[in-house]
Amino acid sequence: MNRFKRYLYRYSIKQKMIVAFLTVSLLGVATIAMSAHYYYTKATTQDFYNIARSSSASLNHQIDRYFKQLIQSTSAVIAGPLPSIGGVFQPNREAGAIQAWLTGDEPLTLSNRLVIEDALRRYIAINYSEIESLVLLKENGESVSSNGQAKYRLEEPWLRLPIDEKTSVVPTYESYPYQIPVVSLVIPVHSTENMRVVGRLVINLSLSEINEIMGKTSIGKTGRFIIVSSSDTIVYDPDSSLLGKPLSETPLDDFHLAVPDTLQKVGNMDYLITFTESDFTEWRILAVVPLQEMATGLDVATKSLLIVLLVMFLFVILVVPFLSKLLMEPAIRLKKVMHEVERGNLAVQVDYHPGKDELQSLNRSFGKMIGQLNNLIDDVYRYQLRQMQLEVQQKDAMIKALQGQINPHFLYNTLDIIRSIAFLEEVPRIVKIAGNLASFFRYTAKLDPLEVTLREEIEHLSKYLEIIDIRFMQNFQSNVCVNEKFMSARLVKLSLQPIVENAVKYAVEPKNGNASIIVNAFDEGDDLILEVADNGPGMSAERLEDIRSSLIQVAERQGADHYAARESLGLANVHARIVLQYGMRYGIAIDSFQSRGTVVSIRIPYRKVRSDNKS
Amino acid sequence: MYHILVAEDEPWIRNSVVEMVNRIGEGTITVSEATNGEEAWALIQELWPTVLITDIMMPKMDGLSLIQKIHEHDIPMMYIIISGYDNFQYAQKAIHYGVTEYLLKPVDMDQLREALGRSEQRMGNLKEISSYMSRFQQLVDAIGENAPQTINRKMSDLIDSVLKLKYINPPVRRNLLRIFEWKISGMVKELSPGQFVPAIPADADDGAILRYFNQLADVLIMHVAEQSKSNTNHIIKRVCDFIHTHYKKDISLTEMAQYANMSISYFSAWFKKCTGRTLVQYIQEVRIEKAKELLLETQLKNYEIAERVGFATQPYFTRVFKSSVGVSPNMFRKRMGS
Repeated sequence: MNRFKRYLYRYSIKQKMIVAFLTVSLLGVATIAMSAHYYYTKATTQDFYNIARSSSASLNHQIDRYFKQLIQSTSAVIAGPLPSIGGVFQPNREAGAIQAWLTGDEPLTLSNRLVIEDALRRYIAINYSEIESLVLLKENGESVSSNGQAKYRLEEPWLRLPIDEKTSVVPTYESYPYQIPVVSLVIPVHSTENMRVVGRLVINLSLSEINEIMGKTSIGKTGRFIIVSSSDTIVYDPDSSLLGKPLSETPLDDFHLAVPDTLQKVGNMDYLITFTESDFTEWRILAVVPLQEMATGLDVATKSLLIVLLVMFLFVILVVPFLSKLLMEPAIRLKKVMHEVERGNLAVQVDYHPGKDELQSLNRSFGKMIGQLNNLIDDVYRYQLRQMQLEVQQKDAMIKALQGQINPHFLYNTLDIIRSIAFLEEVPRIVKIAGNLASFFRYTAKLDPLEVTLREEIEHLSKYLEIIDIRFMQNFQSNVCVNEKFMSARLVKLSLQPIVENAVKYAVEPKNGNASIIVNAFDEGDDLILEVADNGPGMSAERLEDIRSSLIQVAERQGADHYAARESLGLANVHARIVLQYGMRYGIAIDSFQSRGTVVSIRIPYRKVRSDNKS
Repeated sequence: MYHILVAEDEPWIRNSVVEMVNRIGEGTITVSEATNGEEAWALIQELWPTVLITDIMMPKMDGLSLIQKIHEHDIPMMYIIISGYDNFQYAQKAIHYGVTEYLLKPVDMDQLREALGRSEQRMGNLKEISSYMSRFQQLVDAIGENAPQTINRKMSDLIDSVLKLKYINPPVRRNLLRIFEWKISGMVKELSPGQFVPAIPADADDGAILRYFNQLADVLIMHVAEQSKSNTNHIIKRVCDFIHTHYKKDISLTEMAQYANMSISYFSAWFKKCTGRTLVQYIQEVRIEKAKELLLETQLKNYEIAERVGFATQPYFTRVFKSSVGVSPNMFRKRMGS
């Protein structure tokens, strides 16, 4: 499932929409096609059954009626011709001849036979030209035929039949001697006196009338009606070659004809088959039609469905991109806005239109969310701002309080008064120390400029060293020897003196002032190096390593607050400021030898000074 | 030889600066001191110093306002500012008024020496102006003491010599005439507020200028004569009595002018006229006299005496005593004492 989902997420919504639309429409069309096919077939089949059956029944009926009429019309002949109207004047020889022959015991005279034959022929001529021949048969086997003295084969089906009350129909067979397919009606002949069956009349019918009856009725293009007798011989078929043949010898054998209303497949064709059976003739009239023909409508339906499908396909291909664009556009816009927000821009405008569209409501929600986020950020920001303002105010107050305590003017004025008194009282050391202290404070307290000349730094350093000199009386010695040409080099303010102060702290103080500090300067390539060397106790290798690593740390963090707690504040502070100002190449390096002293060197850029040396 | 005025409200610092200037000058410089800007302004119009050493933050009138005023009146002067403030705006303003020396407190003697040296180099004809000014001042001071004829003659001589500068140094000439006029008319207005003083016509020739100044001198002589008739003796007596009882304190010109109920500049001039000395000189004399008494009558040590008579420090006392009496306090005691 997950894999499927992952697969699904790989494609854009547009592609998915096209596929979905196509699938749905194709499925719909296919379902319609299938159900249409099914129901249409069913309906067509049913229609066919109904129509074919009624046609078949009507055909049966017509044939029955035809046969019955035939039978009826022959009864007069059989009864014998009625005495003619002329009566005695022109006595009809025929009258009563057939009856007399049939009921009498005498064998038939030739003249009588001719009379009867003549009567039969006349009958045929007058009534039914389609009758091939009429044959009268007496119980004892004598027969008279309208064809004259025809020799009938013993195989003639009607010869074998017993003479009884039954009227029967002999299905199509090839009659002797003319070899034409005929249907024979076998009618019993009754005696007019006692109604006893005295013989039979056989009517051999050519199929022309049946053909006519059947020919009028057609079904479909190639559909046909076939008449099959109860003994499974073919009575009628449009294909005359099949006439009279037993069913088993014809292609129709493939059909199962036991049950009406069936759909059967023969070869690769579907056939609809139905039939009705006549009570009188016991014939079945079969209607056989290829399903295809009955279902021409189905083809049309299928074609129209294909057209519909094509149209829908085109519609989907053409309309879905547009539709998906229409649907996806707000989503894409929302996506853009979300990307903006992701990037931190919370000032984006989220447009939306009221309504039930989910994307619009999503837009609205998102806009609301951004608004709330903004409010939240505002709140937090304002809170922090207030907090910061509070802190600033507090610090401000603190600084002002401190300033109040060490009012610079008060401080310098007091130092000047001290210095003045010392001057008037002629105490030169106090004059110097007070004056230098004031200058020292003034230089240190003034924050700008960030960069000063080396000369200013060295003047400041000298004031400091004079104080230290006085402090340690005669013991301490210091020497600042910097070539005049370096004096205009610029460097970060308060970078030299703190290093010396550091040396005083770690080299001079432990030795009770019995130490010297030497400051010198030299250039190395484009750099200027200031060296502060002392002959103090130096430091251990571990301590040296410690200081070096702390210098590296300070430089890497470039933050001003990490060295605050360190012991050698001076070095780290100066290093950090030089690195910040000039870059990682510059700063402080330290070297120390146990019990021999320490050298701290400051590396600063010198090249850029050369150009403005004169100024 | 030139004169320096030190304006500084802090007494220790003022004394120390005065002492430094004295040591630097070694007799080539005379120094006077003012405790605030107003006092300094009054003394400038009397003493016509060549150099003004001034603090910026002072009561009554600050240093920059003082310099501005001097600048506005076109009184030629060199300025040295000593300030506790390393303030760019101050420095900028000062430069605007032609100040070239700006020293930060505490003032180092070497720095001050250098600043004075540079000022001296740039002084040029300022010394000349100031000699004319002191001649003029002496002349004005002498009004009421000398005969009007003498005054008139001296005035004519002075103006004549100034007028002769026409071809040598026209700006100095113009400047001096303007200051003389301003000074005399100021004095006349002070003595008699309702008096109309005509100005020098712009196109006046030398003769007219000479006549104009003689006329002004006459007016002034007349007013001084009138004024000397009015009884101001009791006021001068009260002032002197005050000084004799309060010499231990740091008595300032401002304070005494207030005591006498006069303006600082008027009081200063008036006091000098009455006593023949400036207030500072007078106080100093009183203090030295008292010190002499103490030296002879007590066994107090020098620093104790210095403190008792109102000297800030013993070296200062010693120096002032020596310059006034001619010998050091110890020598004085030795010679005069038992």
